[in-house]
Amino acid sequence: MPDITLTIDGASVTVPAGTTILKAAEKLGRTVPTICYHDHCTANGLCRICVVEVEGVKPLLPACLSRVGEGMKVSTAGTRVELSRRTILEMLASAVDLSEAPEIQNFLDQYHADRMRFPDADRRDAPVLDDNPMYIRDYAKCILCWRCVQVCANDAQFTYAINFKGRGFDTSIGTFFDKPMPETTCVFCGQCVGVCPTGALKSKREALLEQGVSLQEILQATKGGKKRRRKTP
Amino acid sequence: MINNVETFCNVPLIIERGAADYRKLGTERSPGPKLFCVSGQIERPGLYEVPFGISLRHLLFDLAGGMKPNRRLRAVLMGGAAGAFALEKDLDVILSFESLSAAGLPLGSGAVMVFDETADIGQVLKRLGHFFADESCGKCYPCQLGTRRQHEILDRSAAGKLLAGDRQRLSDIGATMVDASLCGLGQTAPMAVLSAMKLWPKMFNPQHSGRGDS
Repeated sequence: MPDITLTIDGASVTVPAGTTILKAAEKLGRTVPTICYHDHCTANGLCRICVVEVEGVKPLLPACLSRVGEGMKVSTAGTRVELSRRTILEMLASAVDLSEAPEIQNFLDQYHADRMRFPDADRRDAPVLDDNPMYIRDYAKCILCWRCVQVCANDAQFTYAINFKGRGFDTSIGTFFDKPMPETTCVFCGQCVGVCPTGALKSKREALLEQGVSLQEILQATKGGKKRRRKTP
Repeated sequence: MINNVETFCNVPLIIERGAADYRKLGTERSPGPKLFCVSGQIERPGLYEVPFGISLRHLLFDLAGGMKPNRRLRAVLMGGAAGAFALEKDLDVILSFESLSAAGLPLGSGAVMVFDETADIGQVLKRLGHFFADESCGKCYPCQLGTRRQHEILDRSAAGKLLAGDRQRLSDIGATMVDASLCGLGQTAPMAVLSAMKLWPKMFNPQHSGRGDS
């Protein structure tokens, strides 16, 4: 397939067919903000922070998913784009604990978002789930970027231990029938912890160290003291 | 791509009668019949099959019996939940794709909901807000978050307890959902609210009664 030439913010760029607007912009040295996007996960276009204006197209398009077209004229900035990005960030800050998401905090500052814009707003609070020795789940920090579900599924592990529950604002991530992690197909590979952008999934060791627990105490608690007895069949 | 039953039902008509015959009904750019579901504060609510090209006034007053005794029309929600409000001044608009589009009103699914002067528009918007918050699938952030935030503000509006800044919040949430949502639900969920903000701006002042009387 022939290469495609398009214009991004007035500058011309030529890329192979099938390239996304996000990657084409990168080639020009222009960064489009992203939250849910991850180079090693399937792109789903969920956060919509990466939306850009494309001439002749009514809605804004997600740069992470939209493929370039010959002669396309793209604007990665502008009033519409900035309003959408700022409002999405403000709504996210009103619903989720972003205290351990430095990249998103930077966007909040960059787009002059008012973190307190929505008084009396329902938050997505959830008790911390601590049901296995390897990692804890603090879904009050979950931004529903889907990366954990993706890597547990077809992006990496093909284990399918976690998935979505509920719908709309009350969507959450969890295990089937809310079973504790050790009773699921989870093999504790840590892929999900690795891709989580907000600290909603955190290794237990890291969490305990943060709480001031010593390494010695951690090893005691997570490796257990008892010898395993072989169960007779 | 055909994705609604009404369109499917027209296909055998076109095949049986032929295109020329089918085109005897309707207008140049909107041929054939259309189902309009008339509901709300009107004498004879119901499903009306009419040719494209009649006026809204004809549908509501000649076919559906007009307003209930001694009641004046306040607004008509055109298109469905994801619709916009028409006023008395819009009654002569022709019901067709092209004419409604020119008038800035949606045809949508053909739902036409009538509100008279006793209707509490604040309550109407609140219920629409609840509907969209329930229907949002939760995939994209503008709609997953926006429909909830919008619903909260519409609750305040219906109770007459709007806060300073709520008008701008609704406007920003609405613009973001229209521009950045992943699908048509998010893109149209704010339509009725944005329409109300244009037609009855005083309704969104803080401490307004919330009914949409002005």
